[in-house]
Amino acid sequence: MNVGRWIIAPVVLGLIWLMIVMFGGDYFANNLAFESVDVEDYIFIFKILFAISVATTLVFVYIWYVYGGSKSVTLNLKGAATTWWILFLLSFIDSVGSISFYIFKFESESLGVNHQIILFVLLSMATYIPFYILTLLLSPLNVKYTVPGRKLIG
Amino acid sequence: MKKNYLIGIGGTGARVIESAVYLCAAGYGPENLTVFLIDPDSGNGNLDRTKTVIKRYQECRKKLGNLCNYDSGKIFKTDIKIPGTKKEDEQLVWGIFTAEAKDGDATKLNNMLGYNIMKDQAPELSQIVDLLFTREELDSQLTEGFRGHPSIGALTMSSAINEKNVFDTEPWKTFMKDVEMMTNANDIGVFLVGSIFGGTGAAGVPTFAHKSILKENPKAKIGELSKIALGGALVLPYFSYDKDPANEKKEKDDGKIFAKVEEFALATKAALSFYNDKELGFDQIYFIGDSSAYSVGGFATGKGEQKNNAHYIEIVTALSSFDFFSQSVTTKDKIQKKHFIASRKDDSISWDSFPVGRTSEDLTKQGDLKKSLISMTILSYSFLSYFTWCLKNERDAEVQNAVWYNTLFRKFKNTDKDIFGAGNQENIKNNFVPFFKNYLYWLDSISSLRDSGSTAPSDKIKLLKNNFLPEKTSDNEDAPLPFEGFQASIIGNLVKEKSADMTMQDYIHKYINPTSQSLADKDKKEALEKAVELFCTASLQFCEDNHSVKKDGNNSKKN
Repeated sequence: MNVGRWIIAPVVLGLIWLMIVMFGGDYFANNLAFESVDVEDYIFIFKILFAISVATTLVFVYIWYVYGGSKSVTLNLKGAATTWWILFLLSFIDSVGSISFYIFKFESESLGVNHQIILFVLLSMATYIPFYILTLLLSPLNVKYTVPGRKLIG
Repeated sequence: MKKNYLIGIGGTGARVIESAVYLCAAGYGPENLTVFLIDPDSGNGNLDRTKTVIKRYQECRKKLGNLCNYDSGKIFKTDIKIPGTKKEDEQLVWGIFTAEAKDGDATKLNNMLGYNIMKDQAPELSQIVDLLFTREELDSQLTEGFRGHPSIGALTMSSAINEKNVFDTEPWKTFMKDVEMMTNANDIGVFLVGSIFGGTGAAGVPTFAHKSILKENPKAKIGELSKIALGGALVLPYFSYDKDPANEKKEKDDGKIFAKVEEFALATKAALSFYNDKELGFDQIYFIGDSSAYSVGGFATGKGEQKNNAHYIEIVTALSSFDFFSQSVTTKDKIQKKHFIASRKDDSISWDSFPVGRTSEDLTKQGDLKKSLISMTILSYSFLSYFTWCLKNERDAEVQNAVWYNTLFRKFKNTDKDIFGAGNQENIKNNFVPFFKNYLYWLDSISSLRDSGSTAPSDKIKLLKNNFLPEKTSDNEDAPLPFEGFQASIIGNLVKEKSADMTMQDYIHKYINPTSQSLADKDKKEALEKAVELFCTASLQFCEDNHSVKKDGNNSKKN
């Protein structure tokens, strides 16, 4: 078993979370005009929301690593490709679900579409994008080439 | 470099050469080996099989270029040649009779002796002939072999050698050319193989072992010594065949003569007594036999029907030739005359049963042999099932996403180095698939030997799992093994020796995929070389992990 991927994945996702909450949280706290929500509460919810997203992504990545490392998938690469897409889709749904929760939660604040787009980009950076990168580069050998794009980089 | 000639005489000789070719394919053989056969029965099924196997070996070897490294050697490492100065002159079989003679009645003993003329002109001589030969023997067509009558064979061969300038025709011509080119004593190792209890072998071995023919041939003489180191294996009775009274009666009614199992012992006794009295030119001689007398199949007198199952004694005999070729015989004084006895601890035949040398130091070679044979088996099976399935299903996601394909071949798509290229596919189909398949069936037929009178494979033979191959028919002879349902194939149980339960899926996971990552010089090699090297290296690793053989050459049992 390649131990590296089990360590690298949480480290990368942890760093992503840290960067987002440090820079994104500060940026929104300083640049948005909140009417009924306390900034501290906003920052707290922001951190928790991204922590959940990142943790969910880590779960999806680990599921892929465990599944891809199992012997049973060796001659079921069609099934592996389907599984990858399902996990990727779930990751994407995670980001969409998170942004929907956010919009619902801060419905009264009229934070603007631009803010929502930036937030979706940040959520993407915490969910399906790292899922793609971590599976593209660190997949178990058996399923390495079922990840779209992997065949291009060899 | 020393040259090695393995000369098979008769049906047993052909089968020993077939075994030698498979051993060489598995990486256990000398650096070079020139082979040819002596048999009047040129339509003999055993001969055809041997010819085909040699041709395919040569084709496979040409494509591989010795790339598969084993510690104990390399697969297809031996340069096996058929005598002939040019490709079109290559002659595998010396048929004793000329083509013209074979067309007529000239190959009947009575015509060869001029019996009818003799009867008129020298009746007293014809009476001696009557005393020595029966009517059936005199009338028998000898182009189908000597049917267990060495007296006829010896007479025929001696007259063929004396009357014709045999050394001016292939395969002897190339042999003599090689002899003339050599400059030192014992530069050419010649090993004669034949059965002592049959017709052709029992007649041919003493004929060609006579000092004047090879050993002390004027062209071979170098002062007091000879350029030829002469070895031989006399194969004692080792098999039986299924009784077919109806067929035997028919042959008898047709006036045909043939070898009978019950006469093997008597024939052997007579032959051994002859060898004991006769001063032959052998430097080293091996007597190899087996009292188990496993059945090698049905009864046939000759021609195409004579296609017997292989027998483990043929492997032992091929190994004795390799033992002989590996000896450094230099001067007459130093030649060790030893009798080498192939014995085993009990009556079972396992991967550890094959004798590989004559000293205790040679025992490590037993592990090398075991490793070579088992890994060749795994290589053949995985290549024939999984790999050929992949080749047929190029566009399938299982292939397009496979690690080995993406690692080794994808970047060469649509070039000569693409394994799916038409040329490579053709080579695999025409050479590798049939060769690997023949290898498996050969080993399978040894593993399926039956005790005499029994219909089930003997449980004393512990080589391959029985009945894992589909029944061989003329339709599926060159086809790959069926792979539908491959996930259920238990590759770990292919060999009858305890190993991990391993399906083909597990095997690809544990051996094929990781090996594809570690192959050296991936981009420099040709597609076929890479493909075979991949499956070969993986099978070797499997063998080391599961079958008590070690990579470092110290192949003693782990436990």
